[in-house]
Amino acid sequence: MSIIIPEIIVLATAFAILIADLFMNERTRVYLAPAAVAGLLLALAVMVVHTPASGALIGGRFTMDAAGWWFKILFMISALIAVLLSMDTLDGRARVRVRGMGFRGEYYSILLFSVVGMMFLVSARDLATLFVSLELATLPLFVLAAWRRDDPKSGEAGLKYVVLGALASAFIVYGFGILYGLTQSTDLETIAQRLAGERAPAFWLAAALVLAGAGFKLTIVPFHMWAADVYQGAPTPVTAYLSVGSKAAGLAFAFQVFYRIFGDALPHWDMLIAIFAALTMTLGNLVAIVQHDIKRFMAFSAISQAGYFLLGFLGAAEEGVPAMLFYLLVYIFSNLAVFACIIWFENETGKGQIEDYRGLSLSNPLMALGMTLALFSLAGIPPLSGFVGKFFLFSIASKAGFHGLVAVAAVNSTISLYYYLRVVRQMYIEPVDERVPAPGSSVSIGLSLALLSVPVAILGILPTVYEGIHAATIAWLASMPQG
Amino acid sequence: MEYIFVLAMVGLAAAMVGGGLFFSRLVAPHNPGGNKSVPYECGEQPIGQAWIQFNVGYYLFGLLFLVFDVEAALMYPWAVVFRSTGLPGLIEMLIFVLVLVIGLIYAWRKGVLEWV
Amino acid sequence: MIELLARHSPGLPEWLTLCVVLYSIGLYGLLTRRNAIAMLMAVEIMLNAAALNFVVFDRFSTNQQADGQVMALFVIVMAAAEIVVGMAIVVALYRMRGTVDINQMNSMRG
Repeated sequence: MSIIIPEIIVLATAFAILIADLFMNERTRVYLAPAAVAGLLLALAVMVVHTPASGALIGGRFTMDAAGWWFKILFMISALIAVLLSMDTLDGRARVRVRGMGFRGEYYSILLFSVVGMMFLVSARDLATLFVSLELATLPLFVLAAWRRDDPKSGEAGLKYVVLGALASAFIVYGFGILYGLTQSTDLETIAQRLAGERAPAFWLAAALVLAGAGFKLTIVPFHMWAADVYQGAPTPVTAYLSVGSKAAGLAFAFQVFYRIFGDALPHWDMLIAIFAALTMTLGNLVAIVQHDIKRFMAFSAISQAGYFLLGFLGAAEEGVPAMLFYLLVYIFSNLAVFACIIWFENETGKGQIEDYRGLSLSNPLMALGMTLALFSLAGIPPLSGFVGKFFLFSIASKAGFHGLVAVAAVNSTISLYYYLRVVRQMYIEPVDERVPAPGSSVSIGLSLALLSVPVAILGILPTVYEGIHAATIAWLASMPQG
Repeated sequence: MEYIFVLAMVGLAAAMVGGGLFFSRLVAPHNPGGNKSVPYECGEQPIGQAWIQFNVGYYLFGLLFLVFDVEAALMYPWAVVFRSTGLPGLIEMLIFVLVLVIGLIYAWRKGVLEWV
Repeated sequence: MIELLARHSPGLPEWLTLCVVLYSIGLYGLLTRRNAIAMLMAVEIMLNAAALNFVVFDRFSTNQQADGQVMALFVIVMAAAEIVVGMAIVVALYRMRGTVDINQMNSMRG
C-alpha cells in the first residue's frame, strides 16, 4: 500500500486546494500556492524516505520500480518549481501585471492533477491505466496553455494543443487497439511476451501509430509542429512547466512503449531512431537561430534537446536508460533555471524579446549569471552538468556504431552554443541603453533559481547522482519482461 | 428462398409510400406561399434564423451533463461484478462518486447551476 | 442480395474494415476541415473508431476477460473529457476573436 501514498498525497492536495478555493476570498488565496508547495514537499519526503523502490498493487496494474522512482521525483520537483515560479504572476506581485491570470485554486489543482497523471503513467502496467494516466497528464496541460482568457495568443495555443494532442491520443489508442487484437491482452508484460517475434503487418501499423503518439509528446520532428506555438502562446509559468513536465512525461511514456511493449523489436529500429534524432536536433537548432521571441526560441531549443534524448535509445539499455534519466534531470534543472529568469524578467518589464535582455548583467548581475549558467549547461559547456549528460548520450551512440550521428550531434551542439550565446551576448556585451530601469527582485523566483543553479553547476562534477541512477536502472532492467 | 417475401415487402412498402405521395400530388390543389412555407403552420411564429448563437448557458449545462452522463457509463461494469467485489468495491465506487460530487460542488459554487 | 446478407453475418475483417473506414473519415475530416469545432468532431470520430476497434477485438477474442470492452469504456470517457476541454477552449477563443477558423489562428510567427 505504501507505494501509492505519494500519489494520494498529491491528489488530496489538489482536491483540497480546489475545494478551499471556493470558500476563500481574494486576500486569503495567496496561501494556496504555499499549500501546493507543502503538499508536493510532503509527497517528495514520503517518496524519498518511505517508499520502497519496488512493489505492486491492484493485481500488478500499479507497480513501483527504481526507474519509476526517479521519474516521480523529477515530476514532483518540476511541479514544485513550477508552482514557485507561478506564484508572483498569479498573486499579482509582478510589476507589469499579467491580466487574465486569475483562478489560483483551479490553476494549482490542475497543475497537481497533471503531476498525478504523470506519476501514474510510470507506474502503469496495463493499456487501460497507461492510456488513462497519459490523458490525465496531458489534458490539464491543454487547459493551462489556454489559461489567459483575455489573451488570444493563449487561446490559440490551447486550441492548437488540444486538437493536435487529441490527434496524438487517437493515434496511440488505435495502436493500442491493434496491439490488443494481436495479443488478446491489455497487460503490458503479456503483450510483450506474445509480441516476441511477431512481425505481421498489423504489428508494424500498431508500432507506427504508438510511436507517432510518443513522438508527439516528446516533440520529435516531424511531430513537433505544435510545440513552438504552444510554448509561445501559453502563459510563461505554464510554458516553464510544459517544457519540462510534458517532456519528462513523454520520455516516461517512451520508456514504457520502447522497453515494456516493443522491447523485443527495439534493437532493430536503431537506424530509424538515429534518423529521427538527427532530423530533430538539426531542425530544432536551425530554426532556433532566427528566433526573436525568447519563449519561441526556448521551444525550438527544447525540440533540439529532444533529439539528444533519442540517442539514448540506440545502445544497450543498461547504458542508455541511466544516461537518458540523468540528462532528463539535468535538462529539467537547466531549463527551469532559464525559465525562472524569463518569468522574472517578464514580470518586471513585461517584455519577452531576446533583444530586451540587453544590459541585464548590469541591472541585475545575479539573475544574468544564473541564466548564463543554465544556458551554458543546455549548450553543453564543460564542466557544467549539461556537458556530462550530453557526453554520456553521445558516447552511447558512438558505442552503438553511429559515428556519423555523433558527428551530426556534435555539430548541432556547436550551433546551439551559437544561439544560446546570442542571449548571453545581449546580457553582457551589447552596449547598454542607460534608460533601463533597475528591475526589482522576487523571493520565490530568486529562491528557485538558487535551488536550480546549484545542481546545474555541480551535478556533472558529483558522480554520486549518476551512480545512483545507474544502480537504479540496473535493478529496473532486471524487472523487465524478457521478450 | 424464404427471403423473397422480405423483398416483396420492401417493394410493397416503397410502392405505398411513393404511390401515396404521387397520388396526393396528382389530386391536391397546389398553391404555395404565405403561411404555408413557415416551419410550423399552426403554432409559434418563428423569429429569425435557426443559425443563431445560443445562450452560453446551454453549453455549460451540456458540458456538465456530458461529464456525469459518461461517468455513469463507468458504473455499469461495476454493477455487473458488484456481488463478487463486495464491500471494497462499494468503497471504491463511493470514492469515485465523491470525486464527482466534488466536481458538482465546484460547479454549484461557481454558479453554473443557476440559469441566467 | 438479401439472401447473401442473411447468410453471411459480418466477421472480424468486416468489422475491422468498418473501424478503419471510420478512423479514416475522422482523419480526413481533421485534415480538411478548418472549423475548430468540426476538427474536434473529427477527432471524436477517430477516438470512437478506436473504441469500436477494442470492442470488435474483444468480441472475437478467445478469452472471456472483457478487457476490450473495459478499454472501450475508458476511451469513451477520455474522449468526453477531451471534447469538454476542447469545447471550453473553443468557446473562450470565440469570445476573444469572434471566429473559430483555424486558418486565422496565425498570430504567432517565428
